[in-house]
Amino acid sequence: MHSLLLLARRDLRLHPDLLLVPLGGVVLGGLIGLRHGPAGWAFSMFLIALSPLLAHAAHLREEANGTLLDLRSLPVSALQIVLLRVLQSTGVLLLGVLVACLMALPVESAKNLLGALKEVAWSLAYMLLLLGVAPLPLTLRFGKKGWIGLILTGGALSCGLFSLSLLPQRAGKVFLQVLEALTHGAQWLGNHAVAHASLLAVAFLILGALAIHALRRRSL
Amino acid sequence: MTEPLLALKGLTKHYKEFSLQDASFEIQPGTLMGLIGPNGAGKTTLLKAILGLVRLDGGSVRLAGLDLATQDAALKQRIAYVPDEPRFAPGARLQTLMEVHAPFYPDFDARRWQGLMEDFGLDPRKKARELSLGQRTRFALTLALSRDPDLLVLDEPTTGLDPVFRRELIQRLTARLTERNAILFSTHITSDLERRADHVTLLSKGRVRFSLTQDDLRERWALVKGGLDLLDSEVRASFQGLRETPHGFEALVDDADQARSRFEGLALVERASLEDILVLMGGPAHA
Repeated sequence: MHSLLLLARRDLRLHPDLLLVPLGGVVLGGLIGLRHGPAGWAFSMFLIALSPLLAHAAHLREEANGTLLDLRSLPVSALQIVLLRVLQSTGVLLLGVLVACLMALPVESAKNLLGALKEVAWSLAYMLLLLGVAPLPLTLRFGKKGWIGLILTGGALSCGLFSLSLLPQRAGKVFLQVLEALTHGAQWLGNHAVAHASLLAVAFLILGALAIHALRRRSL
Repeated sequence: MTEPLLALKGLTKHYKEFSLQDASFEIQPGTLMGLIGPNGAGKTTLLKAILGLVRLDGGSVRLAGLDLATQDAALKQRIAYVPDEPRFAPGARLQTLMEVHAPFYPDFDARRWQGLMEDFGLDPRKKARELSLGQRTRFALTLALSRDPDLLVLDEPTTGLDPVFRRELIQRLTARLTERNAILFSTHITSDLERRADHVTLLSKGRVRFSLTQDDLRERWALVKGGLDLLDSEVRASFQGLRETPHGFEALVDDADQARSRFEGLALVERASLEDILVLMGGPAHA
């Protein structure tokens, strides 16, 4: 635990902007929201939802600076480095929520805010899983190359899906049916997972274990 | 013989164009070991493997009874490491870098660090991006030398440093040796190790060619210089390394007494320097 705190302190001191920029964005969104209404709050929520990506940004910056070697030669285990990244994702997400709530206090009652928080809590947990934890094995194993690959694959898939939707009538219809079935499947999985929080916990644990394995496999 | 401080057994790592193959040696406490080899021989890979920075395909690393595979954090706690090209967060001041590094090591002495910064001509208020390679190496050395680790691992620390500082550094290192610690020093500048290293390990093309004490090297190894007419297949086979020129040959033998009696009056047999050994046994580096 002590080493984990030291790691978090190290990152905060070496990369304070990675925390301050998203929080600054949330504050800015809040200020716009206070003056001009929902658009500003939507911007804040958008930033909060994306904030778990910060952990990846921190790791990729270490890679770009050539300081991964420095990080990995510290007397810490692979588990502690993975926990650091999860802690960063969670921390910045919660801080973002806290800042947004504090800014909304002048216009909303605390009770309403708590109610709203309760409603979005599951979504935030999923954002943490999807953006914070799920890509960790990729970040820790392949770094920048992994993300470039992911973005290119995503782009190619999008283009492919778009092209398939333009297929002649019959083939296009079959494709759209398959796509619809996949969407229903994803929805069912999402609903099922909401109903069973333990599934979410299992997903966190499996992805965490994969991230530790990925980090150990990375040669510097 | 005392228990080795560091024991490497069968370290193996395969890359596309290079392999570290079955590297094994031990370091006794109170020893300065020089790891020599041409560029690309695998020195950096081997040193990184000791800290678990390279995923090994085989082999084991043990430091004072700690196994890297199961106790990597505890093992790294007892090692100070200076990489061949130290890199730091470019926007951070040296003072900040020390402050985030030191708490990981209970044996870090901040007062000693300040003294070293002065001695090495570094300003703590400077940012890492303002440092040259030589200054970055000096800074990495201040962090390493501010501790009392069991093992100091230095990867080509003298590259990029001026000769005066190099000599001073070697003196500082040897002064730090006690009965319980050791230094592993990789370099291809063999003059840094001549007379200073207690033990020398030669790595070439990913293989440990030998790991011997300097005394053994001095007594047993010799350089033979003679004419090409002496070179028949039997003679060639007796050499550890051979370099032919249009005018003659230079060869390395690992039995100086035998070479003297064999080539008496025919060739010159003299003590081999580390540079001779590196040139004749190192072979061409991999791509």
